[in-house]
Amino acid sequence: MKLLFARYLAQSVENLSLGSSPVHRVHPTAKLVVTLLYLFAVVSLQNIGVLLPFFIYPAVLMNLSGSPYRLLFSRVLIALPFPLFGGIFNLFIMKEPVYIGAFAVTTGLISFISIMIKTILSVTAVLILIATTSFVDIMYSLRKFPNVICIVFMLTYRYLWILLDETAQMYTAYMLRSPEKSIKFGDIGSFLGQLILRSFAHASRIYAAMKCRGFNGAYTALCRKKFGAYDFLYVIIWAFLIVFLREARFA
Amino acid sequence: MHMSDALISPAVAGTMYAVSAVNLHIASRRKFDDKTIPLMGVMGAFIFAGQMVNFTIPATGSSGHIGGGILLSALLGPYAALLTITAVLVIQCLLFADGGILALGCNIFNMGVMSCFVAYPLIFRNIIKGGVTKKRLYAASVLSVVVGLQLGAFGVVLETVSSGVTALPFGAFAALIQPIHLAIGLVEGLVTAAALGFIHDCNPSLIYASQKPREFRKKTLGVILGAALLVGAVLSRFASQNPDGLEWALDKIKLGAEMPNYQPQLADYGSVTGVLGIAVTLLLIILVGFISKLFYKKYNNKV
Repeated sequence: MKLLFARYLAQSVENLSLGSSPVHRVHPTAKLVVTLLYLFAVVSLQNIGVLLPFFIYPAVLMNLSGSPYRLLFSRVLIALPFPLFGGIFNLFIMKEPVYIGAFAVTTGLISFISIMIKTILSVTAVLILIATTSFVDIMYSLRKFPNVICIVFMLTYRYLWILLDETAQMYTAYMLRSPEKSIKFGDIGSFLGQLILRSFAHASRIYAAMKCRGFNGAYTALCRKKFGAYDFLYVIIWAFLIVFLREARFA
Repeated sequence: MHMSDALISPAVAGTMYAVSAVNLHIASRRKFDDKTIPLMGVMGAFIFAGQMVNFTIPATGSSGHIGGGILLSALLGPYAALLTITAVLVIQCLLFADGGILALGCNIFNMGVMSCFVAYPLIFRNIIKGGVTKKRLYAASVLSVVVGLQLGAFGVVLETVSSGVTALPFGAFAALIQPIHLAIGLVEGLVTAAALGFIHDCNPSLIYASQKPREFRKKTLGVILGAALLVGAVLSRFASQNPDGLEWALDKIKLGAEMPNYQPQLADYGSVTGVLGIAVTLLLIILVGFISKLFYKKYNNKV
């Protein structure tokens, strides 16, 4: 079922962030900065030859953090369809032939491959970030954002699982009484409406509980990590390597 | 409709980040009462859960799910709705790898700003202005969801074409994506209407428009339209810099066919050194990966 599958998907990678490794140890802000830098570098390139050495980033971090390959690869596959849709037309539109040694290929094929490589690299980079950093820690690095935004991010994340479970319960209850394969179109309004009413009820209970514990509209973050020399080194080394790979253009 | 990192250029990503940031700033400056804040969080979670519920679309056999912008705006107001949609998009991007981190600015604009700050105040509000009745609620929902999605899809087209990563020409891309989103919009609109109709029957006070009829200020709309024009100007500049997507892409992948000074890099791959270069690079990466694995093992034995 889709609901439970979604839950499995999100948690399977996120649970990895509880592990311990030299990468997990790095301060969340350092990892966020390096990830963004890496993404910008990858997205700004088109040449396959220059893109290939960028595989060093996932190769090092996945191994260094002990992330299981199969899990991450299966998640990358899920993200492929949209770029595939965007890239596949290059195959049919760009028909000029290019000769690679004795083989003739079209420019479309080359640009298609380059889009696919970029997709794999960029999705893997995000997955590595999530596999080594918990969402709470990532939010901690964004704590300078306006108060409301931080709180809404945190609360949405926190109640995601509860509402997914609640929806799954309602869905099961519906399906047990229904001969259909999925929810009938005529019933979807009241199904979602019920869910909205339940959400409002949840929210008012949550508000009461937060008020009891002294919520005053401010976002309070807890992160025991301090940005130290180790984190600084992490950023410097990766920044150097990324800029080097992008500018040197070897291979 | 989630755009991914691989299909956009850094310039477009940066521009759209700036535009979305302005809109988020406007939204976050609003004074929300304490009670609304947990509600925003829970409604964000609801949108997630709601999108996982599939239902059968009559006479087609396919299935659809709800979209968020208009439904949230109708329940929370446009400002709170934009912040909530943003939270949903950030979590989708990080936890589900749905839409990229760099494309987040584009996604917030296409799916959040377009429906909460354009379709909602211009269409939904105006239809519902005379008082909330079920008929008006239905008409407003369907119409504003359809328009919101069309605008969003058009945003996708503009951003993708100005990025110039895919060679698909503007006209063909638009002709492909707009009708698909018209169909999606009709279904999402009907579902939004049905859900809002149910809420109206059960507890009409939950519909935002029935509490605060004149909340959305004209000034804000001006700021947003201004931002939209700015984006249009910036994007069209990028577009005019690379008028022919194909030519630009050719230049970027350094084929160098038309350029006499270029060292044609790709052609090199066919030669022995080129293949060797790739092989050595990949071997090196595997080696470094292997060494990293050893480090990980050593680290975890130690701890």
